[in-house]
Amino acid sequence: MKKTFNLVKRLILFMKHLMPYILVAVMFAIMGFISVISISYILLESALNKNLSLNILWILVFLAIFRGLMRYGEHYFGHYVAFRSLKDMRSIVFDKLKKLSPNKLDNKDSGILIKMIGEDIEALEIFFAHTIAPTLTGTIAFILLFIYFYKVHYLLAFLSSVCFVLLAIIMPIFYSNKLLMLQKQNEVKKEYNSIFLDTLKGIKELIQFNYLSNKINEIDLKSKEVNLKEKEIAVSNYNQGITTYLIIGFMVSLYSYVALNLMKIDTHNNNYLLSIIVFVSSFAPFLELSRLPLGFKRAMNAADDIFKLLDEEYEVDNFNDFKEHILDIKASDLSFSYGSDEVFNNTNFNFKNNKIIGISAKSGSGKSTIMKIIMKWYKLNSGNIYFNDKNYDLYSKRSIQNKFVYIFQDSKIFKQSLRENITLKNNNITDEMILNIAAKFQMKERIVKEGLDSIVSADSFSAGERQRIELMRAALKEADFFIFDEPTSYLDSLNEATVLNLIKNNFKATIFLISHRPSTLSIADEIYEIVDKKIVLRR
Amino acid sequence: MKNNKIDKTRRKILKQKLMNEIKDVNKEMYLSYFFSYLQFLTRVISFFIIAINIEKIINKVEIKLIESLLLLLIVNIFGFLLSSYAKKYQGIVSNYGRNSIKRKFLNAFKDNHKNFKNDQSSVDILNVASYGIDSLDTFYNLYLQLNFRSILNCTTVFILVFFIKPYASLIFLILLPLIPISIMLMQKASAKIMQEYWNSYGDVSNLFIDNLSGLNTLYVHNAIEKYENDFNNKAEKFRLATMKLLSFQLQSVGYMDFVMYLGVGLSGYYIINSYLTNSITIFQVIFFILIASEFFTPIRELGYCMHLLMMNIKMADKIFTFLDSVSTKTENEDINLKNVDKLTIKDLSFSYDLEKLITNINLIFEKGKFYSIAGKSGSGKSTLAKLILKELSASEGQIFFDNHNIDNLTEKDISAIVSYTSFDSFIFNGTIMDNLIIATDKNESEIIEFLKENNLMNFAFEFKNGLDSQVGEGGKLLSFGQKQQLLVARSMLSNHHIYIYDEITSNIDEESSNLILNMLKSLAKNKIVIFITHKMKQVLDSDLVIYIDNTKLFLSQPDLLLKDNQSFKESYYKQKELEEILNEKNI
Repeated sequence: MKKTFNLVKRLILFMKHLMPYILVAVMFAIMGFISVISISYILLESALNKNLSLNILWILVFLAIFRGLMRYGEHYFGHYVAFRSLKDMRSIVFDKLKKLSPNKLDNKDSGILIKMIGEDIEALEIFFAHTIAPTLTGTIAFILLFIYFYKVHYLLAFLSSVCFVLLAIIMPIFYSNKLLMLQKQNEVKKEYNSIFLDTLKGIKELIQFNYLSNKINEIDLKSKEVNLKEKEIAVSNYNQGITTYLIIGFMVSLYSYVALNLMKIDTHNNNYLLSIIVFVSSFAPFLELSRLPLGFKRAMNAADDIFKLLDEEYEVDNFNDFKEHILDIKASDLSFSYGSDEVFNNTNFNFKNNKIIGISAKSGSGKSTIMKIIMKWYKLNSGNIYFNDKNYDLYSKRSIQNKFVYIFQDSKIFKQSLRENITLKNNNITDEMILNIAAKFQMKERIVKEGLDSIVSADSFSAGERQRIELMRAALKEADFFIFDEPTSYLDSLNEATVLNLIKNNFKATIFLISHRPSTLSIADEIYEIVDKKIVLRR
Repeated sequence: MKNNKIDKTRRKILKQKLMNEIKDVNKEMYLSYFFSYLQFLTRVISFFIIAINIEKIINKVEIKLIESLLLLLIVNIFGFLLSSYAKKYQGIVSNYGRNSIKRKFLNAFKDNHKNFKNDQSSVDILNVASYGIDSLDTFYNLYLQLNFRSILNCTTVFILVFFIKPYASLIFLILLPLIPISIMLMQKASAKIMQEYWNSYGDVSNLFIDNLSGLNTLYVHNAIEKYENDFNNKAEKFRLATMKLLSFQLQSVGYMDFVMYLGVGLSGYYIINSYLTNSITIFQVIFFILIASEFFTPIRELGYCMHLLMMNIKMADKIFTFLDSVSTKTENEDINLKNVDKLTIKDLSFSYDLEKLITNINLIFEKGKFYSIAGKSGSGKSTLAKLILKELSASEGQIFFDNHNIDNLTEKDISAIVSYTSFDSFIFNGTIMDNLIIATDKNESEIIEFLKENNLMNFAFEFKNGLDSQVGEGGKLLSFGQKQQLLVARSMLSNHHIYIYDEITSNIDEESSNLILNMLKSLAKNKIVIFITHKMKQVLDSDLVIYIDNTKLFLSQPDLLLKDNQSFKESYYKQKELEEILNEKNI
């Protein structure tokens, strides 16, 4: 409870610049709400007072215009909050991940983490734009109405309050299992979609193996399951709808009964009658509350996740820049653990430049880790690393990274122009340079055909082409070291040979070649192996 | 995003087509609407009772309050019970409609699978199939119901008001068309902005995810700052553009409310005026005030869902354009060949776009031999395979399975004779066993026995869950080599007579590739096996090699080919030289 309170408090502080806009949206909603009630109220009042001047006509027209404007304002500012909060949260998270890079996202599960961040931000957007405002509107409307009804009669205030609480709070709680149903429905739907798509994509195979009719049966079965779930939800929605109407019908009846009864005693007081009209036209904000799009819990979980990320500490990189070329990398008594797994224990090594240095080991033994330690992605547990005999702890992460290019095993293709994918928005790289490099990597024809301006995505290229794009990116950067992480792991011998030739001929600096394949390592001048958490020279 | 304009007639046709899909459940649909109408009527009756009582009180007539309260409760509970009865009809129509369209999609794919390649248009169609069809829920669930409600409820309110005071209802009628007109105007105004908006900014949410997932690549190249600034700029531009667009689109929201309450206000004014001139009673006044907004509420909701409907219509256009573009075909009767020992290709030529790919070839493939087709990429190796599969038809010449001409065989016949496996043959999401079992009548233990006997897929038995291990979407949890072994094992489990393997050993390491070649050789003992490759050294073990070079075709034993054919020899040694690097320094 206290935790939730703190979370809400922090959320509101977090987006406090949005609060004025939320309040404006709420104000518009309340004014619009009041104008709707006023229309019926004025009409009935003039009937009861037997007094209808032309002014009233003008007031009615004004109220209609006013209502339209208020409605517009409410929606406009509601959307403003939605889009502004999305944009701001994304910027903040982007900035944080920048500060935490590269190690925060350097693991297998980073894709899941990113997806979660995306979903959390959207959940919070719903909270800011579609939860806070209606809740505030409902609360203020409730207070105003309570005061009004109380002035007419305390009994009426009591009755109307019961009705509003029933609609806005009790009903949603009663139907709260719907959230769970929606979740389940989503799961089944995903499974169904996956089977359906798989069947379409694999239709050739299914025909070839004479299995299509079986698969169609499978689809039908799954589709029945989906239908069942969808129906459950439709029924639940429907039930909620008719229960709402029953409650409203019941409460309106009861209210009218009480009001009319009171009027019997106090015949000349029109307020009882008028209050019936007010009551009948006052359900809208509470009905909206009962239809809030998302459970409060989901928003709190999202807030928890996002704040945890934002609270993660990062190192301030304010050391001096390492300016000279790195000629020599030494490590003394280096130890490193990844979580509770010890990867290196008191190891020493010395890498010299202008060579092809192979690093061989089974997967999971820390081949990539040693490179990432040298690039200062990870912090050592103990021991030291020296570049040209200078302790690298004294130099900035950024300047050290500039000496290295790390060539990923799976190259990332951004959904942007092919040119930007190659230059990574470095404007100093001209199209001519791109085409020259492309020629060297046997990609010129392909790139010209695709066009540098065309927007590409991972699907636009084969795995081999993606790898060449990654190699071109690297070749366009000047560095002292190029680190190739398993560059040949998915290749047949012919392609393996082609890639190794490309690497050998196009990268003239020091090369680290990480591989488990002896054939690939055969081009290395020296080969190191990781044995028992130590790095040893094998050849 | 293309903005193909859909004109009025097309829109009508599309709606009709959507309605056709649910013909069979029309009864259920109307029943559920009918019940929601009854619900509406209970509300009207309640208002009626309340208004009568109020009138009596004002006119100081004695009323029986308890009785009217009970009456009201009974009416409402009755309405509740009636509606509860209708819950079994909820959601049926939408499910039915969408399932029916999905089934049509499946059939269209079944009949036309040869025309689908791995290109963008096919990806689009798949997206339409999976997410587009489900989005039609809006049409079937929301739009139809609102449409119906608007008509029935409005007419009812209109008639009631007409009986109170005909001119008041006239005011409703005059204002009514303002709502659709306003929606149309807004849509025109925003369509232009919309176009500009989508073209320039695209989808920020995906851009965000895309940038984050490449963050470490950007880190290595010192480009994060640039991408961050760029993202923030784009996101801000997108936000501003969205707000600009909304400032137009939301006008319709305000406008509709304005029309609605103007209608209530004006007709109300007129009604009160009539009351004060004694032409109607106070009962009628109160009843009017209570029901007046019921006239506009459903229309307003319909207005809100108009843009969703437009999106649905666009989707329906894509769906039906696709369904109409593919044809269901009629074929000869199946022949059901029991066995095929010989495949004969006679005087066969094939050209594509006037360019000759294959000229006048004659070949005989026989059972028990292992054939290879070698050639550089683009030399027409796969074309030959497609001709045998009847996916393409020859410009000249014939193909015979034993003595049956391919022209007389149905697609089903051919798929029963020929198995075609390429490196991108499809792997289904599920377990390894799920993928194997589709190919054969064997049960699970027989499959395991078969694999062990033939030394197939040893890797799978080392998995923790063995053959029950999940392979992931498209087999992404397996390595390339494992995937290809699975594909070969699956095809070998099936009972075909001719097996074609197209580049099944590309992009896998030497070890896996040798494993697969051994699998094929053992299969070739009593089947026709054709192995297509661009790697010359891999054909050396086969019984006969068909080497395609520059539309010409050479058939020979591999050793003779290497001796006599200059082009083959060149390719072979060039590839060999390239691979030299792998043995540069022996370890």
